[in-house]
Amino acid sequence: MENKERNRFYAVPLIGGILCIYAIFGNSLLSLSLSLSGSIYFLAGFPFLIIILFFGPIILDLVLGILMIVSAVKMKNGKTTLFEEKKKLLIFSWLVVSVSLGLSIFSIFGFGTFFFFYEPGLVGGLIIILGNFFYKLVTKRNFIYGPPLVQEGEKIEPSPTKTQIFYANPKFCTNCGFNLEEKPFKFCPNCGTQLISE
Amino acid sequence: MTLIFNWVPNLFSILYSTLWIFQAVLLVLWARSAKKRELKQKYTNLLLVIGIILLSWNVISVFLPSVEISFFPFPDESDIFIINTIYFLYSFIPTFLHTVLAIILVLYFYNISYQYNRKSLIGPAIFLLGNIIRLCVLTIIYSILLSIDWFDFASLETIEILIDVEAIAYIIIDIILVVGFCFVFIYSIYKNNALLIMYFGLYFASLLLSLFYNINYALIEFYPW
Repeated sequence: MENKERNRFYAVPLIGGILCIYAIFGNSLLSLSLSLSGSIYFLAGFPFLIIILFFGPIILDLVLGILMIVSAVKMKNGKTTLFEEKKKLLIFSWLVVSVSLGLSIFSIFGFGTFFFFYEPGLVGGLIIILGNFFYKLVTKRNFIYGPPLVQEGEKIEPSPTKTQIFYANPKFCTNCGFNLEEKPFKFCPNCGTQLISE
Repeated sequence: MTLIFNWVPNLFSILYSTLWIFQAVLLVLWARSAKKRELKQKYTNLLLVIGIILLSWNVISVFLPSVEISFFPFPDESDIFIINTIYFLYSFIPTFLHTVLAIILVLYFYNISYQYNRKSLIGPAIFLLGNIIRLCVLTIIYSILLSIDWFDFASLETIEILIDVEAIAYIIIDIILVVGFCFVFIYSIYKNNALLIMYFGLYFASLLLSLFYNINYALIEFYPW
């Protein structure tokens, strides 16, 4: 269904995943600069803090970001649809957002600032969550862009009996109501109007 | 006074510059592809032009020169005037360019979707408002900083107040910009174009990033311990 409509939603998890995997470069560079400048010894007293604050976002953001990019590429190539990937994407993005937000608040309490580089993961997860929400807004409701569309629930599906009438020959003349008895007339024998199968 | 590069390579600036350059490339690519399809070519042409200008500014801004003040010998008034003017220009030019981009977006939305639904101007209008407020705040703060007597101890308090006001004002402005750009991001999903979704999504992401950066800066500023 969504492949036929050529859905371009794959761009959202693509940029979200790229932002998520940026956290590993940031944190590695930061740790490198800390160890080069000798400030790493400042953190030596807090091993658990370092393990949680540093390795947590690195591993989680990297793995989930790669999985997001993989699902985006699959969606682009038409191997899966958004309907199949949506649950996974939402779980991953909520995980990334909650972990990076929680750890950034934790680091605010500890150091007074965002000590490690959590912002890209946070923003990448937020983009995917908001993109999903906006996609729902645009497709399932009449939103502010474009002419008002018919909602999914309001669409009246043609019943199977009506479709049979649609393709059959006309039984009665539309003008005078003359009974044609299912014979292939082109013009009404009573009044002479052209017969159109409705 | 020594001549240095204005761009300092650190984590945030590398991410931010890469994001802005990539975004401008995406805007140019989208405008080039939209020129072939859309009937109202005037506004896509304008977007193409502003995209090229933004791209060139983002590339040039990495190599811009700046000055570094040394305190031995002690700097005189002309040095401080020069460095303040440089900071003012380097923050005024991108803000001005983004205000122009916001004006073009307002025109584009007015001509594309305002006829169907009048609420469609909410997003670009809020975005334009935020950019204009940012321009005004920048101009007011730097006009005070440029006119102040830096060698008078009485003006130290004013400078401190100005820096605090700037930190809070940037957070408020970024919140306004993010709220406005939400609606523009929704438009890109409605339009269902991959390049447009990536451009507006990355712009939205960089606005969020600058919001978090400003929150971080304010935390450093106002941290009580």
